[in-house]
Amino acid sequence: MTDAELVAACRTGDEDAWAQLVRRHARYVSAILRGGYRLGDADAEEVFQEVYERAYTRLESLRDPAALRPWLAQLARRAAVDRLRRNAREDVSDEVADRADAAAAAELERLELALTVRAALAELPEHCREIVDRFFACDESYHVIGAALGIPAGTIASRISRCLAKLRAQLGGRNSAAAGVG
Amino acid sequence: MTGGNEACAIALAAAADCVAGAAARAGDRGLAVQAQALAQRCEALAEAAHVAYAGATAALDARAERHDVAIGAALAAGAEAAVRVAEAAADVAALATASGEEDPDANAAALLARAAARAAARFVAVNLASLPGDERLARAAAAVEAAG
Repeated sequence: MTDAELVAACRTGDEDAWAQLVRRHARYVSAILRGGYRLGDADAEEVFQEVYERAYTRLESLRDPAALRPWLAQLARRAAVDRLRRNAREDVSDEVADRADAAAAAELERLELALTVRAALAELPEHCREIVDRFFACDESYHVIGAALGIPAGTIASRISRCLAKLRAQLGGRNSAAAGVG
Repeated sequence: MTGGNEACAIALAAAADCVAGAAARAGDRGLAVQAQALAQRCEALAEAAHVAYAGATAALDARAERHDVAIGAALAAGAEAAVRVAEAAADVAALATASGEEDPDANAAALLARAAARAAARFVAVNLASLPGDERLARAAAAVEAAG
């Protein structure tokens, strides 16, 4: 189910759809709060709940259901900044917010890129996902990969190159769609 | 102080960077990306090798009751760091060859990688001198052969 379909189902009161929506984006929201805004565990857990409470009560206000993820990111950012303001000892609200947003910007950009790449990887053939994951994420050598997959180590580099070309094509298609290019 | 295995990893990171440049000039983005990833991997391996070397040095200097246990653990860590450097060296050599050794940078990278594989394999052997059947010895030998 796409995000747009999930939102539509949630708007009919489908509790299973809501649970799926929460699960699908839980790690993303948590990463924004902890990685982007550096909230501690206790604050992050509480703000996480606040984010989804706000999302639940404001879901009807989401104009483009397909843009669920950036909308949740915006809710998360605002909730995180609100928490940082409450935690600040001095009343320097705008300064706290600006500092937090600036610090979080690079991390949020990295998160967005990682999620985009992950989604594109998910659409590649299984053999591509596995070989790319083993080399780039697991730091396995060509010899180890070859032994694990039963393929000659001397062919691994070219196989990875072909899979990367497919990944680029996937990402290129996403960028074109996002830009409204046919 | 820099140990030999760390020096190998540092040289490998630079060699992998050379390969990335050569591959990019040849228009092979797939190889360039893999070489960049290997460069980052080797930088991390250099750090791991430094830690392992420091641990081994400290263990040898220690007068603690568990002296032998500490040395054994330090040598095992050193062997693991060295075999990973040897395997990374084989991969850098493979990419350098695939990028075309007529490119002088790729050629230099291939030569450095082959030397690093041999040196790292030697460290594996030294660290595992008391464990002749350890599978890391075979891995290191395979890496040297793969490096060419």
